[in-house]
Amino acid sequence: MSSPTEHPLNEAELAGVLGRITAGDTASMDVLFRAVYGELRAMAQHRLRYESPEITLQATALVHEAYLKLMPRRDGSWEGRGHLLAAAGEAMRRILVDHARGKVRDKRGGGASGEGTPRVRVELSNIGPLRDDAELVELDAALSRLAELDSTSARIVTMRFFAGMTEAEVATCLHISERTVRRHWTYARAWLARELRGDIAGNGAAE
Amino acid sequence: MSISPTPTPSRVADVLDRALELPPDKRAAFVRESAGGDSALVHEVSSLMRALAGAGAFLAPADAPVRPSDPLTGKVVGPYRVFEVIGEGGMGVVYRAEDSRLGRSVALKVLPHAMAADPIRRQRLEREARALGALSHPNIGAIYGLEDAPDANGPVLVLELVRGETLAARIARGAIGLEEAVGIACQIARALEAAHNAGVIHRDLKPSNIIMEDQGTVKVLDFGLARLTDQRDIEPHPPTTPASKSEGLSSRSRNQGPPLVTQDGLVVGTAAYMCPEQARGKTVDKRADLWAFGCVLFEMLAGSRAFPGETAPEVLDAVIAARVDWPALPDVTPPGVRRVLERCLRVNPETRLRDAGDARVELEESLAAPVPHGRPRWPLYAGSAAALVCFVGVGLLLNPRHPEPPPARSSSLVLPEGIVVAPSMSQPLRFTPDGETIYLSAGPRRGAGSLHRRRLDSFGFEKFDVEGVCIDPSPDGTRLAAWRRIEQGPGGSGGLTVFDAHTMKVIADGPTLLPYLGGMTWIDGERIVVSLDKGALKIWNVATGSVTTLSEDPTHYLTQPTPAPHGKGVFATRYVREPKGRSLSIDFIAVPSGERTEVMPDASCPRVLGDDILVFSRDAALWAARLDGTFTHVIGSPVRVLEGLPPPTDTIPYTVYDVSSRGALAYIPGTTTYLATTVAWVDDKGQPTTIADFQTPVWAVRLSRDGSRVAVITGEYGEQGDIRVVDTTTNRGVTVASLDEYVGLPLWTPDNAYVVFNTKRENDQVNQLWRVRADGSAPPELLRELPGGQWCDPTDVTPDGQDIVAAVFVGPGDVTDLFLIPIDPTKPMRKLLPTPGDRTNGRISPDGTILAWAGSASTDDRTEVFIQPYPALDKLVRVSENGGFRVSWAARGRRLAYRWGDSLSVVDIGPDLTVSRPLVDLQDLPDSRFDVSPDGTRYLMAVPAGGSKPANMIQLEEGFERRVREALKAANGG
Repeated sequence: MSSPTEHPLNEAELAGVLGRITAGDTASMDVLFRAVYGELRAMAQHRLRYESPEITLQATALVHEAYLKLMPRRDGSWEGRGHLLAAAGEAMRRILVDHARGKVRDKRGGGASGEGTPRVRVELSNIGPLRDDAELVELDAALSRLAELDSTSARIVTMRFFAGMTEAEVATCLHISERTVRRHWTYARAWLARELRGDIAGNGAAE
Repeated sequence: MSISPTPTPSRVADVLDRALELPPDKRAAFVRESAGGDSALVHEVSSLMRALAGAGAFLAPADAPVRPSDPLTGKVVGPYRVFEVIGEGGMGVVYRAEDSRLGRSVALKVLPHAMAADPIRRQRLEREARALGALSHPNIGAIYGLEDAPDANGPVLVLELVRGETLAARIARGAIGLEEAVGIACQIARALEAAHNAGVIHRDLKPSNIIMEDQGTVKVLDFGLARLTDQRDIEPHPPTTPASKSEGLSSRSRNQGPPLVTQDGLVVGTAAYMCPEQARGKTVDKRADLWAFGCVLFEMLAGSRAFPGETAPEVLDAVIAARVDWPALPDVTPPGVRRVLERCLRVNPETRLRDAGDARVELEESLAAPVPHGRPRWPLYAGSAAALVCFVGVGLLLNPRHPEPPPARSSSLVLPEGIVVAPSMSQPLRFTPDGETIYLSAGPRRGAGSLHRRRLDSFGFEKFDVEGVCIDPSPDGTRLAAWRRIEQGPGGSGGLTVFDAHTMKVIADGPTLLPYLGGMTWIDGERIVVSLDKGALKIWNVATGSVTTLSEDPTHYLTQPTPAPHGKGVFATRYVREPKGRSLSIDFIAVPSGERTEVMPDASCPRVLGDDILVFSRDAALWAARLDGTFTHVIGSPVRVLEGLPPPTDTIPYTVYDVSSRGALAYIPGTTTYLATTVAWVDDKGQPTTIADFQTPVWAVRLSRDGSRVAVITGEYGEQGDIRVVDTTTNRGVTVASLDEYVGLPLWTPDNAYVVFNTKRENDQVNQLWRVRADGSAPPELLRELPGGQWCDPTDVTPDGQDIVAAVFVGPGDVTDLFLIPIDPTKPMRKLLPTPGDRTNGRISPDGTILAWAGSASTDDRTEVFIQPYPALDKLVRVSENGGFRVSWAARGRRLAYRWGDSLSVVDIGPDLTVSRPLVDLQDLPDSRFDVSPDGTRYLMAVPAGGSKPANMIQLEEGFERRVREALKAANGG
């Protein structure tokens, strides 16, 4: 997966993009994603560069920071906020997974991951501890498989894990009820748990 | 069983979700039954349920007990003989030990090995342990010292051994009676007061580290330990004896919920007491402890957590969304205690109670105050002997009761946390005709308002799943009219709807030609008068569906209609937008003739009290006047009956209030908006003091050079801007210009006579510079227009008053450089600095000798603040170290302040442009243009109104009508 090119948007442009998305223009989501991705990656890199060598990357905090930095002051609409958070969640997912992939590759290839490469512990919202970077990569892959099966569930997971959005926020953003969000969320958690940790009975129906 | 194809995810999700709501032993049968013979579905759901249950802390957090090793029992650590393990947790194992020198029992807590391994951390640990050791207070568990224990693989903290029951264990047995709970809370507050005064923040206050000794003394343990060990999420089990009493942590009673799990898989209870800013990983101060204090007090009273949730993420969700479980509080909880809880559990730390002493005083007084009207007295606690001992221990803290009731009854009905009254020009709040129920529109700060109902004879608000504003119950109380949203999004549709007041089912939808509402009112059992655009008042007959025109005149608006007595007509606010401001009046419109008469000039928000008193809003106060029989005149002079309301908006002022048939007044003391709408002084501690609330977004502020006035740009959504000049002493303001386009910074000329500003139109293609007299005595005067497409951001006027300093667009990528633009349009603009650069925010020191600006210093996107001698410009000194953007000089001396991100730094500039160490370094400030007071000690900026007074409660004043009548009598001689 190649990294999206950065495309900084000014406040007015961003407000315009959010407005178009709110009005149903899904093509603008891509523009928004690229803008948020650039911002978030710069912020994450800043953290990696300036903070102590052993750091905890709080994904949600970072997403919220990016959100606060980007959100046009003149857009008070809740939907704009939701779309921006959702895009930030997608972008965060991409950044973390790319980072983890790099590290997993280093480890497998015995590459030069020595001093200078910070040890990053990733904290996500609404999720228990991940064992290691490899598990994050697996989670990403499983999410992609889930998206093929049930794209709404996968989107909800991304919003909840990577953007730290609440059920209510997700509901507003996707125009569905909170109840529906919860149903998808429960299903997605169970499905992902089975994908990543297996069915403890050892012979799950999915096999 | 039949064989079926792979079940769809939605079908699986549905059955799974409903199954999980059932007790575990009922789920299998439910799944089989729901599947109706679809074996693949049964298989899939069962498999997913197993996966979820087996996932442990991953995705579906569950118990993850950690067995600690037990390396120290029987050993000797320094002077301490170590006995048994008395507690255990993520932070470390806790042992009972004896100090062989002093012969006293102590508790030893083993800290993680990593703490000692790194010499720097070890040093810090020792320093902080010493600081904490200095904390001595009867309600604080003491720290005696720090020891090395090679056997324990980590340093060991020596603590006071406190014997008693944890508050967690006590609550697990059930809710605590009011007086005992408040008594315990007061002792906790005393501990917090002492610690905060010593500069120590607990950071991890919760029932499991509060111990109630047998004598009734409450001890708070583990002060500052959360920070000491830098492991925010980890639960330090308290040292308790005997083991049978420390049941709180493992208790699974309904009050406790399951233990929570962190990232590390350790059992924690912390999330439930963690304030939102802490949960978000921000730095915290003592207000974090006040939040936790609120959580603990709530839990004592309710017997359940303030933020319910089965798992840490759910709890954190509830915390961040501020979903306090208010209904769980017992009905007898007095208003004063509720107020303390509400003020502790505010998401925004700026508005949260910041002083434990204040909380304690209010709690003590609330027990001493009389019982609220119509409520039973709370039962005195009559529990076990131990509890009575405890009660005696705290009884001294309580004041004696006042014998006589207060003269006027006033109460605060606090909305659920995070919910505020929806901004709406018309009637988000209405009494029912019997005066016993209040309907209101309320929702999250940035969200839509939903209809809520509050019965005055019960506690708590009922929320209806109807997004709407503009409420009016029918005269017989059986129906409710409201404007409700039907389609979402900007430009989404909605319309006037009549609901059944009991079932909230829709009875009638108004004609869809009613998209805009400036308010509406029932005038009898069938007809509703509706305020529409273009000055129209229409009458909708609910029974027949017909719509007729009562009045129509596009030169004004008639809004906020309210019925006049006996069905004779309506009162409405008449609003006329004039070239310079507006005019307002309350007019009477007769039904059915539509004949209009002005009743009260300079007034808005009419309501009728009794059948002869007109109540209205004027200058952030409520007024009352006696009506004559024709309703077209008032008798005698109006009187001011309530002051200190939020200042009105700059369009049609609304005060959110209503009066009831029982003579009560309900109003919203806070501001019903969420944008940065106020201008405030922020002191060098970061504390804001509001000087003006515009109720429309504030985009820029700039002080006059003498500091006596501030020019403010305010307006809705940037399409339109008003320039207002506010006196900083009286806080009174005038609108000096009102424009329908983007308006840039308001700059003062050196003589403080004019405000200079720029406008941008047509995608920044048309850029104009203007000036307007600061007293608003003349319309704005166009100074010059820049060449096509050359936009500029002016930031200063030179001390000689000849030129405007502006960042002017010079190249692609928004590159700007500093220019001097002469006020005299015949003179050419000139570039300020000879070398090319990307510079902005140029400002000249008040003595005219230094130019400060912000520009990029390196390749990254940071900008820094630089200064140069002016006008020589022969030297360049960098001021900021880690980024700087907006700059401002204090009028006196050579003090420079600048912003970067959410921070503000202040330095003094010495001779030869030497830069002092930062004098002030504030964080967490709102993103706002700012200015500095003349003496350089305070900073003026735009602050969200929530920073002052959120519209999160209804103030109810009973006996209002009696007071109004007395005041009218007194003013008008009977």
